[in-house]
Amino acid sequence: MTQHLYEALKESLRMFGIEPFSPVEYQGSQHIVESQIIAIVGLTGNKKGTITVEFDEGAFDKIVKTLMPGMDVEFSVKLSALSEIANMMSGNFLSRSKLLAVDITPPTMLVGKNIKAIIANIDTNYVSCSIDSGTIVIGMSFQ
Amino acid sequence: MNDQRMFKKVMTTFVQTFVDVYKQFTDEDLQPGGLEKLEENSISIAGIAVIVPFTGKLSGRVLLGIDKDVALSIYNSITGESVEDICDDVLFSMGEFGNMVTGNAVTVVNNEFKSGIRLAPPSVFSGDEMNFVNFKVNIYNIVFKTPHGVIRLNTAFKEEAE
Repeated sequence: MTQHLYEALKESLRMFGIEPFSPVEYQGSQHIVESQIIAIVGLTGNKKGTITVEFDEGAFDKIVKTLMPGMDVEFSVKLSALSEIANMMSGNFLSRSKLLAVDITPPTMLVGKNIKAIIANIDTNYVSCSIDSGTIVIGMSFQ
Repeated sequence: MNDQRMFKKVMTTFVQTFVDVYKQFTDEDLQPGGLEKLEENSISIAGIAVIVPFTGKLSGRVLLGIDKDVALSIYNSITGESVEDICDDVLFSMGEFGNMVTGNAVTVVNNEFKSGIRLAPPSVFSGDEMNFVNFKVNIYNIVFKTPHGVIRLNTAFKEEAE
Protein backbone atom coordinates (compact mmCIF):
# COMPACT_ATOMS: atom_id res chain seq x y z
CA MET A 1 0.00 0.00 0.00
CA THR A 2 2.72 2.47 0.97
CA GLN A 3 4.52 1.81 -2.28
CA HIS A 4 1.33 2.70 -4.15
CA LEU A 5 1.18 5.96 -2.20
CA TYR A 6 4.71 6.92 -3.17
CA GLU A 7 4.19 5.96 -6.80
CA ALA A 8 0.99 8.01 -6.84
CA LEU A 9 2.81 11.03 -5.41
CA LYS A 10 5.67 10.57 -7.85
CA GLU A 11 3.33 10.47 -10.84
CA SER A 12 1.40 13.52 -9.64
CA LEU A 13 4.56 15.58 -9.09
CA ARG A 14 6.12 14.46 -12.36
CA MET A 15 3.23 16.08 -14.21
CA PHE A 16 4.67 19.38 -12.99
CA GLY A 17 8.28 18.45 -13.65
CA ILE A 18 9.14 17.64 -10.05
CA GLU A 19 11.01 14.43 -9.28
CA PRO A 20 10.81 13.16 -5.71
CA PHE A 21 13.60 10.95 -4.41
CA SER A 22 14.88 8.97 -1.43
CA PRO A 23 11.57 7.48 -0.26
CA VAL A 24 11.57 6.02 3.25
CA GLU A 25 8.71 3.82 4.41
CA TYR A 26 7.91 3.34 8.08
CA GLN A 27 5.07 2.56 10.43
CA GLY A 28 3.72 4.19 13.56
CA SER A 29 1.18 3.22 16.18
CA GLN A 30 -0.68 6.53 15.75
CA HIS A 31 -1.56 8.65 12.77
CA ILE A 32 -0.10 12.02 13.65
CA VAL A 33 1.08 15.08 11.75
CA GLU A 34 3.79 17.53 12.70
CA SER A 35 4.18 20.01 9.86
CA GLN A 36 2.83 23.50 9.35
CA ILE A 37 1.10 22.75 6.05
CA ILE A 38 -1.03 19.64 5.83
CA ALA A 39 -3.54 18.23 3.37
CA ILE A 40 -6.19 15.94 4.82
CA VAL A 41 -8.10 13.57 2.55
CA GLY A 42 -10.75 11.18 3.85
CA LEU A 43 -11.40 7.69 2.50
CA THR A 44 -14.99 6.48 2.60
CA GLY A 45 -16.83 3.35 1.59
CA ASN A 46 -15.75 -0.24 2.04
CA LYS A 47 -12.61 0.95 3.80
CA LYS A 48 -12.70 4.10 5.90
CA GLY A 49 -9.53 5.96 6.54
CA THR A 50 -7.45 9.09 6.20
CA ILE A 51 -4.55 10.19 4.04
CA THR A 52 -2.44 13.14 5.18
CA VAL A 53 0.19 14.89 3.11
CA GLU A 54 2.62 17.10 4.99
CA PHE A 55 4.74 19.71 3.24
CA ASP A 56 7.66 21.37 4.96
CA GLU A 57 8.83 24.84 3.97
CA GLY A 58 11.33 23.53 1.43
CA ALA A 59 8.74 21.34 -0.29
CA PHE A 60 6.23 24.18 -0.31
CA ASP A 61 8.75 26.54 -1.90
CA LYS A 62 9.87 24.01 -4.49
CA ILE A 63 6.31 23.25 -5.63
CA VAL A 64 5.25 26.90 -5.73
CA LYS A 65 8.39 28.01 -7.59
CA THR A 66 8.01 25.21 -10.10
CA LEU A 67 4.30 25.69 -10.76
CA MET A 68 4.27 29.49 -10.57
CA PRO A 69 7.76 30.63 -11.53
CA GLY A 70 8.37 34.30 -10.85
CA MET A 71 4.70 34.94 -10.10
CA ASP A 72 3.61 37.08 -7.20
CA VAL A 73 0.48 35.26 -6.09
CA GLU A 74 -1.50 35.16 -2.88
CA PHE A 75 -0.78 32.48 -0.33
CA SER A 76 -4.21 30.99 -0.96
CA VAL A 77 -3.34 30.38 -4.60
CA LYS A 78 -0.11 28.66 -3.61
CA LEU A 79 -2.05 26.52 -1.18
CA SER A 80 -4.52 25.52 -3.88
CA ALA A 81 -1.65 24.01 -5.86
CA LEU A 82 -0.74 21.78 -2.92
CA SER A 83 -4.39 20.87 -2.43
CA GLU A 84 -4.62 19.81 -6.06
CA ILE A 85 -1.49 17.68 -5.77
CA ALA A 86 -2.95 15.94 -2.71
CA ASN A 87 -6.20 15.38 -4.60
CA MET A 88 -4.43 13.97 -7.67
CA MET A 89 -2.20 11.76 -5.56
CA SER A 90 -5.11 10.34 -3.59
CA GLY A 91 -7.09 9.58 -6.74
CA ASN A 92 -4.05 8.00 -8.36
CA PHE A 93 -3.50 5.93 -5.22
CA LEU A 94 -7.05 4.57 -5.35
CA SER A 95 -6.54 3.47 -8.95
CA ARG A 96 -3.24 1.79 -8.19
CA SER A 97 -4.33 0.04 -5.03
CA LYS A 98 -7.51 -1.31 -6.64
CA LEU A 99 -9.54 -0.62 -3.51
CA LEU A 100 -13.12 -1.41 -4.47
CA ALA A 101 -16.00 0.92 -3.59
CA VAL A 102 -13.75 3.42 -1.86
CA ASP A 103 -14.02 7.16 -2.53
CA ILE A 104 -11.82 10.10 -1.63
CA THR A 105 -13.16 13.28 -0.08
CA PRO A 106 -12.13 16.76 -1.21
CA PRO A 107 -8.86 17.77 0.48
CA THR A 108 -8.89 20.12 3.45
CA MET A 109 -5.73 22.16 3.89
CA LEU A 110 -4.53 23.05 7.36
CA VAL A 111 -1.97 25.76 8.01
CA GLY A 112 -0.74 26.60 11.48
CA LYS A 113 2.04 26.40 14.03
CA ASN A 114 2.42 24.23 17.09
CA ILE A 115 -0.54 22.09 16.14
CA LYS A 116 -1.23 18.89 18.01
CA ALA A 117 -3.14 16.41 15.93
CA ILE A 118 -4.66 13.02 16.39
CA ILE A 119 -5.81 11.68 13.08
CA ALA A 120 -6.24 8.13 14.36
CA ASN A 121 -5.02 6.04 17.24
CA ILE A 122 -4.24 3.05 15.04
CA ASP A 123 -1.32 1.60 13.09
CA THR A 124 -0.36 3.96 10.32
CA ASN A 125 1.82 3.62 7.24
CA TYR A 126 4.06 6.52 6.36
CA VAL A 127 6.34 7.35 3.49
CA SER A 128 8.58 10.38 3.42
CA CYS A 129 10.53 11.60 0.43
CA SER A 130 12.60 14.55 -0.66
CA ILE A 131 12.09 17.16 -3.33
CA ASP A 132 15.12 19.43 -3.58
CA SER A 133 15.81 20.52 0.01
CA GLY A 134 12.26 19.90 1.11
CA THR A 135 10.42 16.91 2.53
CA ILE A 136 6.97 15.51 1.94
CA VAL A 137 5.48 13.02 4.42
CA ILE A 138 2.42 10.96 3.52
CA GLY A 139 0.50 9.13 6.23
CA MET A 140 -2.31 6.66 5.69
CA SER A 141 -4.49 4.83 8.20
CA PHE A 142 -7.55 2.62 7.82
CA GLN A 143 -10.14 1.98 10.51
CA MET B 1 -26.61 22.36 -4.57
CA ASN B 2 -29.51 21.80 -6.96
CA ASP B 3 -31.87 20.31 -4.46
CA GLN B 4 -32.61 23.15 -2.06
CA ARG B 5 -34.93 20.95 -0.05
CA MET B 6 -32.10 18.52 0.55
CA PHE B 7 -29.71 21.34 1.45
CA LYS B 8 -32.16 22.73 4.00
CA LYS B 9 -32.68 19.28 5.42
CA VAL B 10 -28.93 18.66 5.68
CA MET B 11 -28.31 21.93 7.49
CA THR B 12 -31.29 21.69 9.84
CA THR B 13 -30.42 18.08 10.61
CA PHE B 14 -26.80 18.93 11.37
CA VAL B 15 -27.95 21.71 13.70
CA GLN B 16 -30.55 19.55 15.44
CA THR B 17 -28.22 16.58 15.95
CA PHE B 18 -25.53 18.97 17.16
CA VAL B 19 -27.90 20.39 19.77
CA ASP B 20 -29.10 16.88 20.71
CA VAL B 21 -25.63 15.37 21.09
CA TYR B 22 -24.38 18.38 23.05
CA LYS B 23 -27.38 18.05 25.36
CA GLN B 24 -26.68 14.33 25.72
CA PHE B 25 -23.07 14.97 26.63
CA THR B 26 -23.50 18.00 28.92
CA ASP B 27 -27.19 18.25 29.86
CA GLU B 28 -27.05 21.85 28.66
CA ASP B 29 -29.32 23.47 26.07
CA LEU B 30 -27.82 25.21 23.06
CA GLN B 31 -29.25 28.00 20.96
CA PRO B 32 -27.88 28.13 17.42
CA GLY B 33 -27.07 31.46 15.81
CA GLY B 34 -27.98 32.25 12.23
CA LEU B 35 -26.63 30.43 9.19
CA GLU B 36 -24.09 32.45 7.22
CA LYS B 37 -22.44 31.63 3.92
CA LEU B 38 -18.76 32.51 4.14
CA GLU B 39 -17.28 34.64 1.38
CA GLU B 40 -13.80 33.32 2.12
CA ASN B 41 -12.62 29.77 1.58
CA SER B 42 -10.88 29.57 4.94
CA ILE B 43 -11.77 29.58 8.59
CA SER B 44 -9.47 30.27 11.51
CA ILE B 45 -9.90 28.17 14.65
CA ALA B 46 -8.30 28.55 18.07
CA GLY B 47 -8.82 25.65 20.43
CA ILE B 48 -9.99 22.29 19.11
CA ALA B 49 -11.01 21.42 15.57
CA VAL B 50 -12.70 18.21 14.51
CA ILE B 51 -12.92 17.45 10.81
CA VAL B 52 -15.25 14.80 9.40
CA PRO B 53 -15.02 14.54 5.60
CA PHE B 54 -17.81 12.94 3.58
CA THR B 55 -18.64 11.73 0.06
CA GLY B 56 -21.80 10.70 -1.73
CA LYS B 57 -24.49 12.74 -3.43
CA LEU B 58 -22.92 15.56 -1.48
CA SER B 59 -19.23 15.68 -0.71
CA GLY B 60 -17.24 17.97 1.53
CA ARG B 61 -16.45 18.15 5.19
CA VAL B 62 -17.90 19.12 8.52
CA LEU B 63 -15.61 21.09 10.81
CA LEU B 64 -16.41 21.67 14.46
CA GLY B 65 -14.44 24.54 15.96
CA ILE B 66 -14.60 24.14 19.72
CA ASP B 67 -13.22 26.64 22.23
CA LYS B 68 -10.79 25.04 24.67
CA ASP B 69 -13.00 25.67 27.71
CA VAL B 70 -16.01 24.20 25.93
CA ALA B 71 -14.04 21.07 25.07
CA LEU B 72 -12.93 20.73 28.68
CA SER B 73 -16.51 21.27 29.88
CA ILE B 74 -17.81 18.53 27.55
CA TYR B 75 -15.03 16.14 28.58
CA ASN B 76 -15.51 16.80 32.31
CA SER B 77 -19.27 16.31 31.96
CA ILE B 78 -18.77 12.93 30.31
CA THR B 79 -16.11 11.62 32.66
CA GLY B 80 -16.94 13.38 35.92
CA GLU B 81 -13.32 14.50 36.08
CA SER B 82 -11.93 18.01 36.51
CA VAL B 83 -9.35 18.16 33.76
CA GLU B 84 -7.98 21.68 33.31
CA ASP B 85 -5.91 21.33 30.16
CA ILE B 86 -6.19 19.68 26.79
CA CYS B 87 -4.80 16.13 26.70
CA ASP B 88 -5.15 13.19 24.32
CA ASP B 89 -8.26 11.92 26.11
CA VAL B 90 -9.98 15.25 25.58
CA LEU B 91 -9.08 15.17 21.90
CA PHE B 92 -10.39 11.61 21.52
CA SER B 93 -13.64 12.67 23.21
CA MET B 94 -14.05 15.59 20.83
CA GLY B 95 -13.48 13.22 17.92
CA GLU B 96 -16.26 11.00 19.23
CA PHE B 97 -18.45 14.05 19.72
CA GLY B 98 -17.94 15.02 16.08
CA ASN B 99 -18.46 11.46 14.94
CA MET B 100 -21.80 11.26 16.74
CA VAL B 101 -23.03 14.60 15.42
CA THR B 102 -22.18 13.83 11.81
CA GLY B 103 -23.10 10.14 11.98
CA ASN B 104 -26.55 10.81 13.42
CA ALA B 105 -27.22 13.63 10.95
CA VAL B 106 -26.11 11.65 7.92
CA THR B 107 -28.28 8.71 8.91
CA VAL B 108 -31.35 10.97 8.92
CA VAL B 109 -30.45 12.57 5.57
CA ASN B 110 -29.64 9.25 3.90
CA ASN B 111 -32.89 7.70 5.10
CA GLU B 112 -34.93 10.55 3.62
CA PHE B 113 -33.05 11.25 0.40
CA LYS B 114 -31.22 7.98 -0.36
CA SER B 115 -28.19 10.24 -0.75
CA GLY B 116 -25.56 7.64 -0.01
CA ILE B 117 -23.48 10.05 2.06
CA ARG B 118 -20.58 8.24 3.67
CA LEU B 119 -18.29 9.56 6.36
CA ALA B 120 -14.53 9.32 6.73
CA PRO B 121 -13.12 8.97 10.25
CA PRO B 122 -12.84 12.18 12.28
CA SER B 123 -9.49 13.94 12.66
CA VAL B 124 -8.85 16.11 15.70
CA PHE B 125 -6.49 19.06 16.02
CA SER B 126 -5.64 21.51 18.76
CA GLY B 127 -3.72 24.76 18.46
CA ASP B 128 -3.83 28.47 19.07
CA GLU B 129 -4.13 29.40 15.42
CA MET B 130 -5.24 26.89 12.82
CA ASN B 131 -6.39 27.95 9.38
CA PHE B 132 -8.47 25.42 7.48
CA VAL B 133 -8.77 26.07 3.77
CA ASN B 134 -10.90 24.34 1.16
CA PHE B 135 -11.10 25.01 -2.56
CA LYS B 136 -14.05 24.77 -4.96
CA VAL B 137 -16.51 24.56 -2.10
CA ASN B 138 -19.30 26.61 -0.59
CA ILE B 139 -18.87 27.07 3.14
CA TYR B 140 -21.61 27.65 5.69
CA ASN B 141 -21.12 28.58 9.31
CA ILE B 142 -23.30 28.49 12.41
CA VAL B 143 -22.11 29.68 15.82
CA PHE B 144 -23.40 28.16 19.05
CA LYS B 145 -22.84 30.07 22.26
CA THR B 146 -22.39 28.04 25.41
CA PRO B 147 -21.75 29.20 28.99
CA HIS B 148 -18.12 28.16 28.46
CA GLY B 149 -17.43 29.67 25.07
CA VAL B 150 -18.28 29.14 21.45
CA ILE B 151 -18.61 26.18 19.10
CA ARG B 152 -18.66 26.68 15.34
CA LEU B 153 -20.41 24.23 13.05
CA ASN B 154 -18.73 24.84 9.73
CA THR B 155 -19.80 22.83 6.70
CA ALA B 156 -18.17 22.85 3.26
CA PHE B 157 -19.93 21.38 0.24
CA LYS B 158 -18.10 20.69 -2.98
CA GLU B 159 -19.30 23.11 -5.66
CA GLU B 160 -19.96 20.48 -8.32
CA ALA B 161 -22.65 19.01 -6.12
CA GLU B 162 -24.54 22.28 -5.84
